[in-house]
Amino acid sequence: MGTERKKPDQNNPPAAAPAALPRWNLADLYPGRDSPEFKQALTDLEDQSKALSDKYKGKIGKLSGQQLGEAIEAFEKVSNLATRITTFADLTRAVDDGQSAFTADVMDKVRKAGDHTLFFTLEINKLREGDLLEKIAAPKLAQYGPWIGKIRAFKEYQLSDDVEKYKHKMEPVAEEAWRRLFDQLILDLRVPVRGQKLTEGDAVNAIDNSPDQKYRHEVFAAFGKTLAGEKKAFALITNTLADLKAMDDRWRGFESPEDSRHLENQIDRETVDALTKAVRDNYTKTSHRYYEWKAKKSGVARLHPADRNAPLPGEKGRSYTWDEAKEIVLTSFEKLSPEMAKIGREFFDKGWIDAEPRAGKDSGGFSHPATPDAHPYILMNFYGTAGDVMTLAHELGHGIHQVLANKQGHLKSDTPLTLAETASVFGEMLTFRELLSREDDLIARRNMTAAKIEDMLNTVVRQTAFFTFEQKVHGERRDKGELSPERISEIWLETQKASLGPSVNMDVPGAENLWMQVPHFIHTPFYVYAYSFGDCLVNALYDEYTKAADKPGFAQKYENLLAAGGTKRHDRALAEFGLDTTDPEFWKKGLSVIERYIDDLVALDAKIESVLKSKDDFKKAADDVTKPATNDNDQKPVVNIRIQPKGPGGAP
Amino acid sequence: MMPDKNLRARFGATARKSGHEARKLTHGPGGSAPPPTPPPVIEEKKAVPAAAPANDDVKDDAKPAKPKKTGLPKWDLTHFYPGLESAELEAAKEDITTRAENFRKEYEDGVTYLTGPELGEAVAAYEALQVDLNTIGCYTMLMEAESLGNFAKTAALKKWQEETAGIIGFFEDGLCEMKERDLMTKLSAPELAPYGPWIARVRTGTSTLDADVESMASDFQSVNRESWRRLYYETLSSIRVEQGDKKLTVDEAWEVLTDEDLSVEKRAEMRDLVAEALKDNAKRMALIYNTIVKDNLTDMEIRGHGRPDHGENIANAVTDEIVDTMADTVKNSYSKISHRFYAWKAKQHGVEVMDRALVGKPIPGEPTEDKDYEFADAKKTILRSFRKFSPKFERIAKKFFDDNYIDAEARPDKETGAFSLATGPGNHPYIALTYTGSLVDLVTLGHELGHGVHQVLAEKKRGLFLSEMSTTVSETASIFAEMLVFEEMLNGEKDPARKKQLLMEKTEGMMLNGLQQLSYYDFEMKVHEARKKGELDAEQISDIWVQTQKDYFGPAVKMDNLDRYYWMQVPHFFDSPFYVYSYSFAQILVSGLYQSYKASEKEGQAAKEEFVENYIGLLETGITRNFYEMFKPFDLDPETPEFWQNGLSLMDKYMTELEKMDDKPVAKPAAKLKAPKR
Repeated sequence: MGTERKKPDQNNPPAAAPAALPRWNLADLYPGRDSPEFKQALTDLEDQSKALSDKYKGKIGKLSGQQLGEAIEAFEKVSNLATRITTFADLTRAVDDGQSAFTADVMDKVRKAGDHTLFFTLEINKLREGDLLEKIAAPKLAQYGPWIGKIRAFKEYQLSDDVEKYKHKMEPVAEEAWRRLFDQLILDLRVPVRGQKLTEGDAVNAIDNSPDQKYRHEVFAAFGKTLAGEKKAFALITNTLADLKAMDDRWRGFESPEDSRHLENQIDRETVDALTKAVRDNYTKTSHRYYEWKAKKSGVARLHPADRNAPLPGEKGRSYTWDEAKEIVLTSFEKLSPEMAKIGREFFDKGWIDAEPRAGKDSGGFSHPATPDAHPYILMNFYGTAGDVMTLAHELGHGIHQVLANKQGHLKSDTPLTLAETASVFGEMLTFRELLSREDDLIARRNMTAAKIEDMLNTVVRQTAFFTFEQKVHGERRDKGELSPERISEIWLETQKASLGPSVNMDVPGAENLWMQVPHFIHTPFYVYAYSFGDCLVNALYDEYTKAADKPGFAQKYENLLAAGGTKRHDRALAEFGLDTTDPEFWKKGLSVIERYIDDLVALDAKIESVLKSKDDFKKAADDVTKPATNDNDQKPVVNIRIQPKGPGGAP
Repeated sequence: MMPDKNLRARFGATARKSGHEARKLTHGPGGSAPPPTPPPVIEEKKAVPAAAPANDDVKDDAKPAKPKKTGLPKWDLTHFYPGLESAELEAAKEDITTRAENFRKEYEDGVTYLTGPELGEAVAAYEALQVDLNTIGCYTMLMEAESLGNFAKTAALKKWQEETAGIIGFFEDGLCEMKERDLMTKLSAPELAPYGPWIARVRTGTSTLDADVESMASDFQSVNRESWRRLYYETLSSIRVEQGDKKLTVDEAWEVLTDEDLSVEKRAEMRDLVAEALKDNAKRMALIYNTIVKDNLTDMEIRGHGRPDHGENIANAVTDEIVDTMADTVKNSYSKISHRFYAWKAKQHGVEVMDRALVGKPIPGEPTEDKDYEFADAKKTILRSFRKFSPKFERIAKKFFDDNYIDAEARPDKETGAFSLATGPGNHPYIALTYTGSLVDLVTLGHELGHGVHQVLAEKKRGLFLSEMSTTVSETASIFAEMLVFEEMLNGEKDPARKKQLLMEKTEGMMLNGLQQLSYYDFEMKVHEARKKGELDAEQISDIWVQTQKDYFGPAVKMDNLDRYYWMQVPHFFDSPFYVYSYSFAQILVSGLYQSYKASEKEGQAAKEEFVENYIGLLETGITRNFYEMFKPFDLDPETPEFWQNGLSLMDKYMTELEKMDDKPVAKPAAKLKAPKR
């Protein structure tokens, strides 16, 4: 089945995508979807799964430590193959939605094979603790300790084998199918603006990045309207997934909807609650304060939501070529650790990145870890904005992290979510510093700082608001029954307004519908707090870095943290830096970083104002002498106010 | 929400889905989780027309310009409670909750230890509770049907029902967990013995799975499958057919197509527009359908059923073999009946092969003016035809009119579709339809009254649990009633042109139900088979669809683009897979029964009375006898092809009469036509 490749929409007023953006090369996984190699892999998977089941089903409890270690090794091998296959299918679809039936079929086959191996973890969970402790003395088994611990955390929530099997079999027509439907809905959206039909990705990009305010507002309104056209479907998906989750929670005995996620993240509810409470308590000091400043700067009482992330008035965002972006990101990584920059360079040199925006491709960005015997893949859509450079840094941070963690082998490479955003956010921070250090124009510096603050707010504050939204939606679905699209919108506005504050006008039409396009709500419920967690945590970690006298020593510790993969919980990993997430002060520390940035911004702005004013006075005086006053436009001419750039990390 | 009633053949059956779906869900052991749907609803009302597809082909008398009927009856729901906010309803709820709690206290954890007499007593108490719960469930449904606006007010009540059903859900689990041998011993107690068939039903299909898996399955399906169904309906109703700058819903577009004055060109154009609109939504529809089929296949696999329709067959209390015998016999009759009919119709139009758009046009010489039937006249005609069959029938039907159990008014906020809802012993069934004065409406009223009479008889005789009926026989009374009404009309019609029209439309209607629905079943079986190998895209599904439809229509009809995408519009495929064959089943079964009735009439009064008595006995059976035994008094055996051929022969007979009616006798084209290869 050949697929028609659609032409990319040429509807991106903000910045034309520069030529020759890279596409990834999936041949490192398999030569093609119809290749004999891929078909063979599917057959192998089925055979190996059966073989594993023949050899070990019903016998896990009888194995010696050494044998159990061997069994897990065999399981890891099969599991690795399954992941390699699904990665290939996933990534094939991610850049071409025409492949979604192919991907679904592959997933189906993998799942069928998975039916054979499902017993494995179930039986591990049936081992008595005493027996296990005895066995684990065998070195072959000992190496898998962290993985076994992770599996057994689910022990008390496990259902009977047959029920687990039933659920496993039904997943493709349940959660998975609803997620596919969501993806299809988003991909099929077309937002009519000025005679053009924007894809969802283009619309979001225009709202966030277009320098043309009028256009932003138009796209925003049209986007809201387009979403409203599918509100029933979005609400049905949301309700059904929440309902399925509630059912699962009820069966397994999870108390609150987010508990299963916490368990998976190896974190306790109290820590997360402490974090989200700290963030909420600081809404006024962080986001409210910033948006008030921005509104004032924009000359309005309240910001239109489409202006929330917009460049400051009168300032055109600088645009970057792909090569520039690459150079900036790698240079910034190099300064922390040449080793990491070296890994990062491989992504560019070996075709591990797909950055070209095109129709039928997923919006947003991700770095897929794939398998240790392959390498990660990065997907993003590069339009050339500074934000895209940061996205590249973010995903590349992930990618490097994954390369390092993959050394742990397939089963132990999976970093707990709490630390999963470490390298990505840290990478962004490094790149931001690099960008800032290269800029000696005062206004540009101010705007970059503002953009960074916006990023942090979007990560810390906004994701916490998302999390609160999810808690309310899931809670209400469970306790009161189905939520109408209007009710979901109400909760959305309520949580958004609380986090954004009075200076953002969430009453403009269309704003109420934006919950519909947040993929995390659908694909990974309650995932979002990990962003807040990661960002706050990295802020604190970065603080340590700037303060560290021994930078190479820090880099080494940092690399160790990343390379630990799934073998260390966040508390143990951070203890080596002297950080403690159970300490409430820890979170305040992370949040205070944002506040310091805002302080800095305000100071910078005051300086600019005063320089501009004196310049203006001077100019006016000069003009008065030379010619009659012809109005020059506001701040447009960027006069040469340059100050000495500060060293990396010095600004806040 | 669903294809308009206008899609229904003039003499096609109004589908009223039996509650087997709901029962399936509640029969599984509930485990720790509350059962998903309140069990009481005996007959899930359903606005789905039986023979949806080609039915624009049968023209409809209802013209848009027609003045609205006035003076139509509206039902009186105060037979139940004074209102949703009434103290009476509150009191009933409180009473049920208390009893349910007491019931739980008394029996939870101890069901297996009860003796036969104790268990009999418990089932009786359980039934009494379900009767009352059912009453409220029916009241809720009727309120919602009365005005869609009431949906906003019934949510809390429905949640209460769900919760209350959950309180006593353990009981059926307990019944399922019992060992068969123990149960057999207990069943010798006279208190329990009558409930044997019901207990067997409760335990049906649960044996292959562990109780907790069944319970999970029940929980899971009530969330997941329900939502896919809803998505299907919501998607269907969101489709817009763009005609110039007009945007029509699919229903509205079909409304246009039912206008027989519409030229062939315009019809073809409109059919094309509908096809386009469906095609535009093909991707999502294909995803929904793939998911539902896959769900079905997985469920079958888990339960160890060998074929995808096995679950439906069990629910219908028929064997796979009976279904196969029927399906084969019907498919073999395509050339003798449907191919022959369409060839005859083509001939009427003076062509060998009809364009698809021509199929729906009146034949030359056919009266184009519509007859208008006042409601009072419809009532008279129906009651008269019932009386000729049996005065008891007439008496029961009359009560529906006299005590306001019928809602025939057209109201904008009223749910579309027609149904008769059985409301449990102690209550009386209710009928809803929208009466506009067309012949379809008259027949629909007869159809629903057939259901109504059946429901009254069965519930009175058997109570709530034992009056449940399998889908295969649940349409018996309704279609039989239609036959009675039809013959009454035919005999009363003096105008030869109208007579020909009536006969033609009846034949076509029977064919759409008896044969075309079977081709739908054929489609479903083939899709399920293909889906086993992997996901199907919309075009692949359409290919299978076109093939099965060609088989049915034969060489005298040239299919068009809409025929290709029509499957998206058949709600049954999405809502209740394999349900469709029960229309064929019922149509052919009843045709055979009717043949027997006519034969008994010829034999004389005594034979006729014996037939009527047997027939009433059949309607009163409920679930107390199996399918095979039910027909024994009539000397009919559904396990033989002859049983089905007997029913098909009625269509054959009508077809022959039709051919005789032509001025110039037409040679039977069927003899020349070969059935298409499959």
